[in-house]
Amino acid sequence: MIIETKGVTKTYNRIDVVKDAGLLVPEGEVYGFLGPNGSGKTTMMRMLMGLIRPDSGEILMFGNRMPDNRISILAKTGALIEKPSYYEHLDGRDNLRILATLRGISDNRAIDWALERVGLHRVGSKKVKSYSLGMKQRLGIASAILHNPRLLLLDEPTNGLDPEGIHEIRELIRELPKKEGATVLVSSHLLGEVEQMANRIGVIYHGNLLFQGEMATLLSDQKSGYIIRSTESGKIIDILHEHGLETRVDRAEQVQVSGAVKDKIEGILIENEITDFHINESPGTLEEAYLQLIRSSEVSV
Amino acid sequence: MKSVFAAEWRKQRPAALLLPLCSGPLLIFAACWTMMLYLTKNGRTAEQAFRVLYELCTLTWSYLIIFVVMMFTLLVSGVEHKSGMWPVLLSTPHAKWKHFFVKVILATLLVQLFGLILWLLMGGLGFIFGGTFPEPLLYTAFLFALPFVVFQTSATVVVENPYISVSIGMAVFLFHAVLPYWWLPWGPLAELLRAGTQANSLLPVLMLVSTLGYGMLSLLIFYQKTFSSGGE
Repeated sequence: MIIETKGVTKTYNRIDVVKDAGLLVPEGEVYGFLGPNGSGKTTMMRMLMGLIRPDSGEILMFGNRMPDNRISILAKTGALIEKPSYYEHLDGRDNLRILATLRGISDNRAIDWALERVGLHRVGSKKVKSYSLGMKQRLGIASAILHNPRLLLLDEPTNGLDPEGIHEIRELIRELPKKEGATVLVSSHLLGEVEQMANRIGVIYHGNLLFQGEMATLLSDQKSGYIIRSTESGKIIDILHEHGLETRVDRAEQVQVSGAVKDKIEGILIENEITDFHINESPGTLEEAYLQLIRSSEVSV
Repeated sequence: MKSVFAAEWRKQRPAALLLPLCSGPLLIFAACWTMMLYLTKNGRTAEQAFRVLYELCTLTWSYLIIFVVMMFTLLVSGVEHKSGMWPVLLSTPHAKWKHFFVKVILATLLVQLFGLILWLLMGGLGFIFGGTFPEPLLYTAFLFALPFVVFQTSATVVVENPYISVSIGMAVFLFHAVLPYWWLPWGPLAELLRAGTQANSLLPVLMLVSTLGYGMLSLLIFYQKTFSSGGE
């Protein structure tokens, strides 16, 4: 594991912002750290970067304790935490040059490479104060990948980006483990984003890590419904409604049914002389799984 | 350490630092020159005119120093507060204290350079008017202010709101003259040094006490900002 935390707790004003968290991030993967705003994601990332100290627990990164081995850990880690920060009176290239100097990188090609990876190579000589929010976000990512880190911590990296920018950054994050062998821990409250980027996720809510593991495991664990493909979607909905079943039509004009087993649905439809249909188990979405996790957590509270 | 200092210099606005560094001493020099012209044209010898000017300097120098320290520490630390770069800097593989220390070094250099330029210019007055100016004390007062530079830099580093750090400096600015002389040695010290030998023998002790006091206070303040998060 490239990151391993054991019982990490951080308390502010008697409220556990992160509670007994045991994060496990394997090397070479994109780990999606999912949770609503204020759930403790940024606090956790700040602790991983040694910016704040946990009240209890242990953080191991690259097998070394943080913050005792802070310098050697940070040499192999890049981060974009909270919001992108820059010296606005300088241009993008000079901002990266400052960070390159601090990291002992003298080769300007590293700066060019980073700017190119985030699509800022044409505006590298412009003052940062003239950058849009999306461009600043890209520059933040460029500064995080500048030294080709083995571990990248990205806190809401697509904030403020347009759809094209989101796509580009998503592709960049997905490529990093394959091309550079890097591990990426990306936090977000956007489910779709994490779903497309990560192969392993951790769900945090009110400081509690509710789930951690493979995305496929989370999706298969949830109680999903069924999808019915038919030319008689309207009729099917009416019939199923009469039998008290919850239905909805998705964008592909397929009927999604929940709250019943396959045999029962088939029985109802055949009883009503509908034979032209295909019924399959719904693969389930991250949104459903996430909401299920959150609701069950609230019930247990 | 070299790379931290190189990065520190790269991020500063040269014009914002060099303008007050050059124009400040020049303006003071111009004002003193005008006063010398006025005094010598009104029947005083150059020696007498220098005496009046010296009295004025000993009365106002400590205020000037506090103002200069406040200005340069704000300029040096402000660049980080304005940009919100502290978390980024503290995420680089360097001991946290180095980021603070380079700011102290830079602020100290600027304050001392200001003092040196001013001292040279005031010495130039003697050259122009054909007299001697008791100038060494005018520079040593800047040198004695070092502990206050450390303290004020740590205050501006820790307190993100510039109004609060300016208020701390302003409080010192307003009240330092009524404090015991060991509190801010460069203030009433000039008068003591001129008066007799007592201050000369006490000077090393005063410097040590104030340096230790300000140093410890600065570390205490700075602890909250960086060392509290642990690590190197």
